[in-house]
Order: sequence, then C-alpha cells, then structure tokens
Amino acid sequence: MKNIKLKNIKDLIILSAILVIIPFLLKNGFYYEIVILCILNAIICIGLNLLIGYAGQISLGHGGLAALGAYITVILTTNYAFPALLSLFISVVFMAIFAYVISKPILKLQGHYLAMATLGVGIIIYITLNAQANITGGPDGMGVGLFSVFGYAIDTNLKWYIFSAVFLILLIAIFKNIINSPFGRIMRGIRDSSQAVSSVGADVAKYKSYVFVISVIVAVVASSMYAFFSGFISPGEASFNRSIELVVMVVFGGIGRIYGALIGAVFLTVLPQMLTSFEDYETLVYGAIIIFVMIFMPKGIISLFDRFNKAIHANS
Amino acid sequence: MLIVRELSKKFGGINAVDDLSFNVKKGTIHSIIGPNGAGKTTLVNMITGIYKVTRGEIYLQKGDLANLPPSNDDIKDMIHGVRENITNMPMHKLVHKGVCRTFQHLEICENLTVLENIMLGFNRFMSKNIFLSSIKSKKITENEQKYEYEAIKYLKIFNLEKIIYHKASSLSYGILKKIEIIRALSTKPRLILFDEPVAGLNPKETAEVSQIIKEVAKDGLSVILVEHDMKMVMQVSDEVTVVNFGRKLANGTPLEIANNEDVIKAYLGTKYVKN
Amino acid sequence: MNELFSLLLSGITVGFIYALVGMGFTVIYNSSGIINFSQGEFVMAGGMSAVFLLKTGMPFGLVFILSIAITALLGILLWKLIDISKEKSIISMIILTLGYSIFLRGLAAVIFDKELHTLPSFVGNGSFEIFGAVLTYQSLLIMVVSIIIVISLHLFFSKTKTGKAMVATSDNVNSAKLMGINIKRILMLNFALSAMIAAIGGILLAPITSTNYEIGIMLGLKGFSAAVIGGLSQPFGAVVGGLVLGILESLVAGYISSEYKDAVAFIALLGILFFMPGGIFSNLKAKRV
Repeated sequence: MKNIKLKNIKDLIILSAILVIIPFLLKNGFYYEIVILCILNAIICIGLNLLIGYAGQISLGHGGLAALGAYITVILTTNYAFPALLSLFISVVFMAIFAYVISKPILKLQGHYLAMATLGVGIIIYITLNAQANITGGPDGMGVGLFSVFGYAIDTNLKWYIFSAVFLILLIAIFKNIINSPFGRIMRGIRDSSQAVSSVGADVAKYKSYVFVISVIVAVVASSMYAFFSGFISPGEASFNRSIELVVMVVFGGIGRIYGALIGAVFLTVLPQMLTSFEDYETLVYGAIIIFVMIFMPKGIISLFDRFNKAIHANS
Repeated sequence: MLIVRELSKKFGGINAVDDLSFNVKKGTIHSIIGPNGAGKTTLVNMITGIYKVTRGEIYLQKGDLANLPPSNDDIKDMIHGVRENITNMPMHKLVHKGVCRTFQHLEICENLTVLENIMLGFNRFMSKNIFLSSIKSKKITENEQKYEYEAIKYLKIFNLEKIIYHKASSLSYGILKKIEIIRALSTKPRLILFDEPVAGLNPKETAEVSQIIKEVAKDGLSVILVEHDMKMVMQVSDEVTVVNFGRKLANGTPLEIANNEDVIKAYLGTKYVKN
Repeated sequence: MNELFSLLLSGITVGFIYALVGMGFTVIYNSSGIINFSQGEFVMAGGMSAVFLLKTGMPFGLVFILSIAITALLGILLWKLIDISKEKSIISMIILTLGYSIFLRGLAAVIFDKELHTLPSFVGNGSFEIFGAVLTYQSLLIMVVSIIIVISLHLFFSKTKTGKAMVATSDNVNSAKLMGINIKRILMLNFALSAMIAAIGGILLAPITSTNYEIGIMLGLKGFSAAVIGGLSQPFGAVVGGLVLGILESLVAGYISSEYKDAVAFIALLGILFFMPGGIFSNLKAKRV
C-alpha cells in the first residue's frame, strides 16, 4: 500500500527537488522574475488545461477573465485599502459567480462556436477595462500596492518564489486527485462522449460549468499574484494576444497532461526572452515555432518526453 | 413497468412518431421492431429524454413500490402514486430513477480505459464532491476500491478481464458494444433500453449478447429491445410492438406478430416462427 | 438627420469591408471546416503590399494585381501547412491558424515595417453630397467594388465548372470525390480565393484608414463576427452580417460612445451565438449539446 502511494507522488517529489534547487542557480533578479512568471503562468495553464484538455472545452477568453479578476483584487486593495487576502477572496467569489452564470449559455455551444463565444467575452472585458479609465486607469494601467498575508509582507523575490512554488505543488497535487476521482472521470468522459456521461446519470452541463469555474478561479488567483508581484497591471493582460498565449501554452505543452501544461507554460514564457536577440524577427520566429509544433507535434512537446521515456524503458 | 401513451413527435411537417401507445410489463423483454425509418430510434430518444415529446405521456412505475403489481386501471395507479410521469425528463435524471440505455451508434469514452468506462456506470453511487476529491478523502478512496472490485467482477463474468486496463480506443467494435452494455447494467437499472445492440456484430457475438439480455431479464430487469435482427427478436421477446411510419402496426407475442397479416405485408417475406 | 445619414454612410462603407473579410471566412469554413484565424492578416497583406509596391513606382494596375497575387500565395501556403499537418483536430487547427497570423504579422514587420501607412485614394479626394451627408469617391468605390465582387462570386459558384465543384465539395466531400473532383486542388483554390477577396478588401480600405502590420487582428475578428451574424453556412450571409455590423458600429460610435465601438462586434457575436447560432437567415443550428 505504501509503495503505491510513493510511486504516485514520485513526480511531485522530483518537481519539488527541482524547485528547491532553482534559486541557487539564479544569478540575478531578472532571472528570478522570469522563473516566478513561469510558475504563475504554469498555474493558470494547469487550470486552463483542465477545461481544454480534460473536459474538451475550448476557451479563447481566459486572459480576459483572469485579468478581470486581477483588476478587482487590485482595485479593492489599492483604491479602497482592503486587506490583500480579503480583496482576493472577494474577487474569486465574484468571478466564480460570473463564470458560472456565463458558462450556462456559452457551454451549450460546441467547437468553433464555443471558441468564438469565449473570445467575444474576453475582448468585451478588454475593451471595458480600457474604456473605464476612471476606475481602472485605462490603457496606461495602474500601480499595485504591496501584498501581505496577515501582516507578513511578501516583498522580496525569494519570498514570492517560495510562495508561488508552494502554490504550484499544492495545485498539482490537488488536481491529480481530482482527475483520478469520480468527478475527474466524468470530466474526462465528457471530452469523448457527453451522451455516454448523461447515460450514467451525470448532468453534463453542470459538470462543464464546474470545470469552467475552477479554471477561472485558478487563473484569477495566479493573475492577481502576478499583479502584486510586478506592482503593475494593465488591460493588456485581458487582450486577445494574452488569451491566445495561454491556449498556445496548454496545447504546445501537451493537451490533457498536467505536466504538459507546465512544460508549455515554461517554454513559452522563456521563449520570448530568448528571442529578444532576434529583435525584429521575434514575432516571426515565435509564429514559425507555433506552426512547426502544431504541424509535427500536435500532441505537444510532452510527446517528445514520452518518446524519450519509451526509448529508455525499451533498453532497460 | 412503463406506459407509453399517445406519444407523438413532429419534426417540421413530418410525424416521426404518431399517436403511439404500448405497455411494458415488469420483468419482460419487450421488443420494438419496424422497417428502417419507422420511428424506432425517435421513440427511444423520447422515452430516454433526448428528444422533447410533441404530444403524449410516459409513465414509469415507482421504484419503492416495485413489488406492487401494476393494476389495469392507470388512473387508480396515478392516484395511489404507483406510477410517475417521466415525460420529457432528461436522461441523466432518468438514470437515478432506474432507467438506462445503450446506443445504436456506440457512445464509449475512447480515451478512458475499459475499467474507467465501467466505473462511470457506477457514477450514481459515488460522491463527486470536489473538495473531498481534492484531498482524496477516505470516503472517496474506499468507494473507488469497492466499485473497482465490482467492475472487475462484472468484466470477469463476460471474460473481459484481460483488457481491463486497455484504452477503449484500442478495442474492437464487438467488445465495445459489450462494454456499453456492462456500463449500462452497472447503473443497476430497473428498466433498460437496448438500441440495436447487435447491429454490426457477427453471429457469435450476436448470440453472446442475446444470452446476456435473456439472463438480465431473468433477474427481474425489464427490457425494451429495439432491433432489426428478426431471429434474435423472435427468440428472446415476450412481447413485440411493430411500428411503421411512426404508428403502431401490431402488438402481441412473437408468434402472434409473425402471423399478423399487416405485419407480413409490411415486411414481405420475413416470416419467422418462434421455436 | 444629416448626422444620422452620414453615420449610416460610413457604416455601410466599413460594413462592406467587413463583408469581404467575412466572406473569406465563409469560403474556407464551408470547404474545409476550418476557421482561419489569420484571415485578417490576408487583409493586411493586401493593403501593405499595395503600399510598398506603389512606392517602387509601379503603375497602379500592376500593384493591384501583384498585391492580390502575393496574398493568394500566402493563402496557398496556409493550405499547404494544413495539408501536411499530422492531426487536424479543431483545437490544433485553431492554434495553427493563430500561429500563422502571428507569423504573417512578424513577416510584415520585417519586410515592411511597423509604421502606419496610407494609400492615396484611387479616385481622387473628391466627394459629393447626399441628403446633407458627405460621400467620398473612395467610399463609393468600396461599395461598388464590393457589390461587383459579391455578384461575381455568385456567378462563379453557380455558373462555372470550378465554382460548382467548390460548392459540391463543401456540401459533401465524398460525393464530390466520387464525381472525380480533385478535393485537394479545390481546397487550395478555396484558400487562394479567400485570400484574394481579403486582399481586395485591404487595398480598398487602405486609403480610408491607415494600414499597418497589426490591423489584421481586429479586422479579422470583426469579419468573423460579420460572417457568424449572417450565418457561417450561408455563402453571402457575411455580406448582410458585415453591413449590419458596420452600421451598428457607426451608430454606437456616433450616439453612445466611441470607446465601446469595438465592443459592438463582439456583443453582436455573442447575441447571435446565444439566440440564433445559425445566423440571421438560417434555421440551421450551430452544434449545440
């Protein structure tokens, strides 16, 4: 019994080890920022992957939804001097209800129509955030105050790193449990055949909404964290480009695999940094890489790791 | 067990099902046959809540009074609360009332393993609480083990234990059809609808499925069987309803149906006699 | 009253551009089932190519033809990329076309530049008055050319052999194959055609609004909205959708708020998806669960 348990958390142990070692390899604050951004993006992507990869519902508006939640957190904390955690809590509750309400009509749609509906929602949020400058500071964005948890301020890179890393590990552990539970089975079943799931007594629409809400909550928390970390938020976080970036991360890494979402997030957070040496060619190369991966590795980069794994085990 | 009364379904100007009425007695195998396009699948879809009824009602015997024999007076039954109106009830709610079905065009979750597909069948007995799931509570793990054990037991009965952990997408049509039946049975239904369960199966597989259906009815399950395979229908059925152009053409035992002039006319030359 | 009419005129003008973009979406969707997220970039490519080719001193007629040809090639390239893809699921194709749109934007930034450019108007800067509203020659040109394109397309699809083959393919791929129609070639032509329509839209639009490497994003999305409003399965639904969208946008910008102008397309999109997924005309439903 104990042996099985250990095998199940082997991946978490390895990941924790990696996360512990990383700070010692980071040379300066800039690298710290990138790593923290990787982790926060990974958190959003793992949540989004639940929706896209496991439940099979496409969302091209998660940037907008995440940003809306982050803005609420930020506005409450900065403009109304609410304690950060309380603002976050209020934002999460609001966005959960909002997500649940819009999920009802939207998730009735399928395929391209679903994608476009989520896209529409995201862009409407983006335009609204830009337009309501008196509350949001408009296109120029707004500054964000300090983040403190019960009086303890999280104000250094190291503290943010530890905070995010712990969050990541906990999230993965929780999601693994959910995916292998009866709830998770239904969710995965919906991706393949919603009739089959209905025929065993599960209300498909209800479960789709739940997964949608979960993915939004996760995204809102991570986005809020990022706003506090960088001290700044702008409507660009809600843009179509950002929403695409998130979906590409999930698909790129490998749909339907937790570590796929993680790999995709890390890869595509780091990639633009590596591409700055290309200067003007940055966008071009970025686009080319996406095209290349979608043509030749539709199951995502993680499929390379799978082949690697298979090769090792074949030899041993 | 089930009363279908004056059921009709209109699609635009077409009457797919027209004023159809029949009763299914508890513990029997009741078949619905008819030429292609006669409205059989539309009928099944209405009973299982996939299509909304244009007109008519469907009544299901209540579960807790399962031991009470249905009377001949329907209104009396309604007053005594023996039957429940399930017209337009969505499929997922019907499952909790003990009704389930299989599909003409296989509805299997390809990316799930065989075991997981069967475990889906036990869905209504399991907790789907997200919070308990996320911390992998004892209640959930114990339930998982219990039903995993039962699922494997079922699969052994059908000689499928070797492929328990195989992904459904890697298996043959015949095996998947059986798995869908096992999944449906896992919901522990009182009434089960089979929609063309042997379509596309070879004679050996057909015989196996026929056997499963007969066994299942012996245990007290009520069965509605929609099928084209006349030989099978004549062999297993207790009662047959013949449908043509959405209307009831005839109703009776297999023998009566086989000798019914209207039925013979509609089928022209497919006369079978029950052994 | 004058204000209303001038808003209507500008709305119709832009509406025709949306219609052209939207028609491109419809052509590709009906033939391949793919939503081409880089459609807007085809519009940009047409406009930007025209701007830079004109700078080389080429006669305008040649510029026009070359710009369209270049964009058609970009369309064919996309077709090829899709063709060689290992897996053509909905989500992979969405990401692929999104990647292509990013690629084209990057390409434009490199080959051209990131600045704003305008094309000089082809018919001069004159205008005339209708009911107290100003209608520029360029706007009139846009309307006329768009209508000509719509009519030509209609004739193409109903009268020519190739056109009819395209319709047959989008109706039922297997029957088309049985009739000996070369599906791959038809698909390629569809992509090229879609790109050409977009390019013309881009060239027409450039004199009115400035063009740069990023205009494709919003234009593409709005064109898509236009197509959905009209009905994705209706070949000319995009025309009505585009006009409706253009007029609505213009009225909102004029009477309500100019900041929310862009939101109109998406609110309309959501409205149609929720209430009439098949578009204004169609009784066909979007796949609903």
